[in-house]
Amino acid sequence: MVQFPSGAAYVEALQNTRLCFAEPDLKGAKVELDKLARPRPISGNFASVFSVTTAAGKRHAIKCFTREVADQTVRYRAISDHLNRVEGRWKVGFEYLQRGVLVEGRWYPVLKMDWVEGTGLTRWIEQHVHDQRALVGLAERFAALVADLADAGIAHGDLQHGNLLVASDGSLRLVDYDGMYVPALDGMKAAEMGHRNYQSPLRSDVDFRPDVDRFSAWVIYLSLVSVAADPALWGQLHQQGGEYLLLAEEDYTDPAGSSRFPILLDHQVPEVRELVARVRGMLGAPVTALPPLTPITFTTAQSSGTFRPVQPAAPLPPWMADHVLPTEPVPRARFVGRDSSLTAVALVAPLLVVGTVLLAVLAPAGVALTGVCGLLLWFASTFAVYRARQETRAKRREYARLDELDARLLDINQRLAVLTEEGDALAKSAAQRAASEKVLKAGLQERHRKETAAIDTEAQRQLASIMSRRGGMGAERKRELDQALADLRAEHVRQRLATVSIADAGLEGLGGKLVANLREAGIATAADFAGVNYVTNSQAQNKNPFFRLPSGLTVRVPGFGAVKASRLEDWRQKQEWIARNSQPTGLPDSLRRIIESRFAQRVRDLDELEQQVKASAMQQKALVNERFTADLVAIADQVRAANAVTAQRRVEHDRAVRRCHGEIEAARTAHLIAARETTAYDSITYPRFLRFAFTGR
Amino acid sequence: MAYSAEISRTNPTAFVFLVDQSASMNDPIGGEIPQRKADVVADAINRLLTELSVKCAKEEGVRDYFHVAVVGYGQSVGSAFSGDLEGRDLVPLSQVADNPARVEERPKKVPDGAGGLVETTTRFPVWMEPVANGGTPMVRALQYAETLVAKWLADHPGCFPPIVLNLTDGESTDGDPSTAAVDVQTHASADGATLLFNLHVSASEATPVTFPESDEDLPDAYARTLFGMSSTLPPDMRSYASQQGFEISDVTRGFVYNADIASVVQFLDIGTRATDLR
Ligand SMILES: Nc1ncnc2c1ncn2[C@@H]1O[C@H](COP(=O)(O)OP(=O)(O)OP(=O)(O)O)[C@@H](O)[C@H]1O
Repeated sequence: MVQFPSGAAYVEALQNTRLCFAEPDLKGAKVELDKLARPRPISGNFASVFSVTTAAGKRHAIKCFTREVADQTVRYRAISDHLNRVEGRWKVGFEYLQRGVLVEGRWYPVLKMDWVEGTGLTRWIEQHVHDQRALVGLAERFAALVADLADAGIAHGDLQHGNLLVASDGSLRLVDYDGMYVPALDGMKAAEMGHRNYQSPLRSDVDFRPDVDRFSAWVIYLSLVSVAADPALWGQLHQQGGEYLLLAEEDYTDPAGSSRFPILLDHQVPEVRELVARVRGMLGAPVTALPPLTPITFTTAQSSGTFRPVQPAAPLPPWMADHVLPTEPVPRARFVGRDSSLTAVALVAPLLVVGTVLLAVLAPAGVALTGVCGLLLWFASTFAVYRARQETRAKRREYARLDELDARLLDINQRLAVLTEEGDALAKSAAQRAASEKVLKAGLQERHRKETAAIDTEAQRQLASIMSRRGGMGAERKRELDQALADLRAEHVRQRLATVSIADAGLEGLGGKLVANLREAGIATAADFAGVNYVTNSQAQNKNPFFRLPSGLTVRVPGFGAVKASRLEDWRQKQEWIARNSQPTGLPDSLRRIIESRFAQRVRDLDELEQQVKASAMQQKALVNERFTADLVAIADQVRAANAVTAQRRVEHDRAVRRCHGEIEAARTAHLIAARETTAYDSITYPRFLRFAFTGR
Repeated sequence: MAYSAEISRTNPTAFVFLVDQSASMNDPIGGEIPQRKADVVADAINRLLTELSVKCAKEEGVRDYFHVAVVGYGQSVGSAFSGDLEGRDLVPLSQVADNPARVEERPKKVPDGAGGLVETTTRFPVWMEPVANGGTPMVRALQYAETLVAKWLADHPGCFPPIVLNLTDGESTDGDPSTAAVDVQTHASADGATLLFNLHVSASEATPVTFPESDEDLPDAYARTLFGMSSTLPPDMRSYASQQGFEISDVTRGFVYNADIASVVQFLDIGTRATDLR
């Protein structure tokens, strides 16, 4: 497989012909330049063609290929061999050069052709629309060219306006032999399928035979003849810039919906009608069953054949400017064929008149009345004869046709009005749809916004609570450490106090009895009581001491009055003070670490919780987003489908409108012609008939 | 069948290029001679416009088979044409062809066919100058394209679907471009939906990927997003791409990742060739 350079790559390479060409006469040759002073390409589907003039002054068309053509070398050799044996002015001399052009370090083949001084078919037709003789001449030469090809066993493969050039003497040149069939290539497939506006809808790439040009030949011939017959058809059927002549692909694939076929099929010129009807009939036929082009013989045999001379009836409405109308004045219709019976009837009249006058003078009124009656009867019968005359009938027919055309115009205009309404409705419903889609989308967006916001709010709430918990943690930790220290100290004091016995204290007034009593109450050391409560005795007016035990209970100890109890209490307080002096100043590290690590764990737990909250929010949001996107895509799918349907409807609508306009124009032309024809019957009147009956003129 | 409408002067279609002009386009892209991404992309656009003009050149001049817009996005979003076409959106191709901002004389070393290299100059038309400034408002750019396309389709309901080609180095700075991309593709003619293709120019060393059928081998999230935004190639384009030697399937997308200069032009080339000009 060869990858060919692009058109622009060739333009770049051809900026230096000394480098890019190998052929001696092309080396350094002058390439025609464009407005930007770069080589000027003429591009087709498969190649870009450049005009190159050698030092000797010979102008060539250098065809540089941009796409692979299967078996190109073989094909061109076969075509070249075959063409060398065939005569024909249509031929363009060429040479297939394997080492043609150097692009980016690689050689590619080119086709070196003689430059054809000619005008492309479309442009030529535009220049000759009103030159009937030239058009008819070209149609004839085209038919001859097609016959020559057939005789030589050749098919061009892509007959179309771009490949037909008209030289200044009006002769035709055929270019682009890429897709050409010659007998030596039999059995191959077609290299290309030809221009879509010139092919039978049934052509396929297996159709590579001597007769593949038939459909396109008919299409081109039909176009030339039709424009020759009626230049208005060019403006009517050929859209400026269209890549076709009068008929295009859509007409072949859907003739029923075609806006162009009816205009041609109903055309006033019979040659056009017949040709088009033939082509219309070929649409369903397999490619192999198409008849060869058979040129028509023109009705008026002048030198090159012209159609019935025609001239417009002045003044023309603007839309008629191009229409060809009969040129000679409409011949007046006359009564002809005064036979003896008519003469006899006519002769009765003077007799009746004379008779009636005489009767009126001579006879009584009643008899005279008979004469008048006779006269009336005569008028009645001659009028009946007038009505039955073929001239009068022809006149009525003409007027009826005019009425019919009026009705048709009315009908088409009504259809057009309906179409216009439909078009408006289409636009309106499309606008409505667009609006409702907007609403739908806005709704989705709003829902999405709300859902996302709800997720955010909830996550925020949880995060805030985590944050506050984390914030409280410092104080809590300090509290716990303090507490631990306090506990530690209390225990130290307790233990110390437990080692100081009351019995050993030797307190004044606290004999063995009292010590025993204390022991009885469970108080042996300074640790065994916490203090003394004094309860005032209401009768005795003195205070009774109650010892507070570490358990929180209070006891009375026999033998203790307030004085002794308070002495013991003071002693205890002193012991406690001594114990406090040796209490620990801080928490030991081990204990501190245990507490700290418990708190570190709690912080980690909170961190994890925070991550979880965040992740869960993100996950929820991802789900919401996913659904939102899916919903948007679903809407988009619907919108796209609906847009495509609308576009399709609009295309159909536009086509129907064009068709109506075409019909209106055709009907108007017919109407104008018919109206003109009716003027011929201005002379067909009853008084004229009477004159004719009497005088024969 | 969809994507088979005739492209002709009477039934032209639209080509909208979106060109990333954000500050990051100042970064160099790999290769033997490093080039700024902005230069690479501007060059690609200029080449593409040349290619289109050549393809549509006929005997009497360039034909308006296409109307072309070049939209830049960076500091702002809008027409990126310089010269006479400055500020214009969709311009008929014949006017584009005739009105480059300037024609550059470029020295070029070309093979002489005998194994050596010779110096020559070529004339290279320039419509768009490289720019790199500001953020990457890709969503807005896509919306801009959507407006152009919608208006075009209102006037041309039967045309070959418009083609939007986005050239970027990745990250959108004004939101996820995915839904904007979907929206562009909802606009359809009777012949099919608008096509959106993406070209990801990246400085990364990752292997270039051309016309992939899945995002599996794509190295980063931006590339995957751009892949997801791209239309599948319609049948005609597939056959051109495979003619050019690419491996193509039914789900191949119009996406090129980390394209070097050659595949940039290649990609654009196929985009335009895909349409059968008749
Ligand atoms: N020998 C010639 N002399 C002058 N002009 C030519 C010549 N050959 C081709 N051309 C011009 O170049 C145009 C393109 O050439 P050609 O038709 O060979 O290319 P292509 O790519 O095969 O086109 P197509 O799309 O018709 O297949 C023609 O329409 C014609 O105007």
